[in-house]
Amino acid sequence: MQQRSSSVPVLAAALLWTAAFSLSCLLSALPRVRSTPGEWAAAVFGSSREAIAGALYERADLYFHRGVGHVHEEAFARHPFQRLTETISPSRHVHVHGANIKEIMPWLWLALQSDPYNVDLYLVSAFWLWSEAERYDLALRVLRQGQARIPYNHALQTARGRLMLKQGRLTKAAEAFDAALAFWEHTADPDDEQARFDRAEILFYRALLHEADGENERAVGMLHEIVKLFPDRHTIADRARALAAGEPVDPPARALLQRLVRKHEQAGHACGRDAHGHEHEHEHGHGHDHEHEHEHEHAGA
Amino acid sequence: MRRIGVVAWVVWIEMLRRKDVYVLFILLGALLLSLVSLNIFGLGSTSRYVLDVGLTMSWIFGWILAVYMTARELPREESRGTIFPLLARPVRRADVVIGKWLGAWSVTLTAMLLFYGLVAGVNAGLGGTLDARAFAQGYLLHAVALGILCAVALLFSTRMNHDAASALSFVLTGAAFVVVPRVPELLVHQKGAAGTALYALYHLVPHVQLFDLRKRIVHEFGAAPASTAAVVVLYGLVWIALLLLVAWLAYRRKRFSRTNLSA
Repeated sequence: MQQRSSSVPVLAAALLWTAAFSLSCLLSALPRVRSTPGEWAAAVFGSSREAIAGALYERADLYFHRGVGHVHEEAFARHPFQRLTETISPSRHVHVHGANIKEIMPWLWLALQSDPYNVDLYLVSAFWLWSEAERYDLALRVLRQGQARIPYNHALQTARGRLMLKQGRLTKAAEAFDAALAFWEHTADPDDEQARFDRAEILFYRALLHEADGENERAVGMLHEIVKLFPDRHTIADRARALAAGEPVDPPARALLQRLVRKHEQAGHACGRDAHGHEHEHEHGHGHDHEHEHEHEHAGA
Repeated sequence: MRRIGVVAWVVWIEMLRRKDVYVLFILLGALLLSLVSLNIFGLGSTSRYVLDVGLTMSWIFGWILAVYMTARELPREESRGTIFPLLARPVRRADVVIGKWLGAWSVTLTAMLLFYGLVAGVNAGLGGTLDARAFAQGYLLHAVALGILCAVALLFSTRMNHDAASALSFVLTGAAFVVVPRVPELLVHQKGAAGTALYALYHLVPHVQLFDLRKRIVHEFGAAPASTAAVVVLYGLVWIALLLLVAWLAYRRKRFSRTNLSA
């Protein structure tokens, strides 16, 4: 009896230590801490939540690859233990599709519960809900929840605009992009490169919607604004010139909008790993990057 | 064989008296129930994450149960002094070692059967599919892994008290789970003595990851090839035999003193 009572605290202490050690490892790997100097409690607990959310997001990524983790460089290969492990635990690079995508959602949901102020988690969750699960209603609800948590975030409104475009609700899409532009004005840093790309993207969508409504003058104004942000976007400058001259543009606005939404979906599905499972910088379902922005430029051609 | 059976039966009686397995079973049930009750984006039931968490918890609970229960058997007999009447009977030290291992292992296997049954039941209740062959194979390989864990704990407990044997067993088997499969990666950056030590670790510690079929079960890869599974089972049995042999060698000449008895 005496032995049992002395063992349990030791075991509990060992488990707590292991948990603390694991958490400290995760925390040290975090790139940012959402707190101001002096707010140590917010730093510790805020970071813990981010760390847990990050681990849960990784889990979602793992499910997207049917449980196959990232491949790392190894000092030796084809050792009998490695070959046995590979046979027991498949490591080929595969993706889940269609209804199976539903299985990654619990991890994204749990990640959102851990870190409800993470915009990317709302964007990724909504993306998978509408692009694979085809649940536009749920995707919209997730984006609304995100907007309630993080008011005036332009990325959430941009995603809402795309979702409306996908459904063919052009008026609602225009409203969302207008809101995104207004939010951008008030919250984004105009010197931040990603923010500038975001603005150009919103302007392009909105310009095409104006064009689709026959409001060419407004469309031209927005296209010029994009060219002001990125003077090397010649195809957009050409389109503005053609619209201003009353010449026909190819492709027409509606077709281009559909193509953009499709391209956004394809970009979201693109995998950051190569055929061997090695990791490159990219996040699934995250249409919020420069590479995607280049596609807009080409789509405008 | 009968003597081994008697020693193993004593372990069973002790397990029935204690509440470890029931507590873990209830914990697992509560965890699965809370997962089932989550409303995931209003999507309706998704089952795979419940299956995944359930199997992972079964592995963790199995690990704790195997190590904690096995490591206390011999030290408790010694501290209570019940080892003296036991050895006064026509029971050899080898019978004690194998009987204790068999008892602890069979108790853990039974607990795992309950855990796997609960997980499969909840999964079925959620409408999830399950490859029965892969699931059975997963249980078989898990069973062999638990045999190794029990043997490790028993080996340490032949010469240490319960706490020390448990702690060392948890560290060694934890390293076998976490570090050993990553040694080829770690060796890319570790050279010299540290690299040699890691390389030695890779060959001297059992590869418990070989017995883990969770990925195949959860992500529907199907059962592993029978020949591979047979090789892995054989590998596990060799490890169990080796560990029990060393445990017997450590225990056969051990001297007991009545002055060390607990109050």
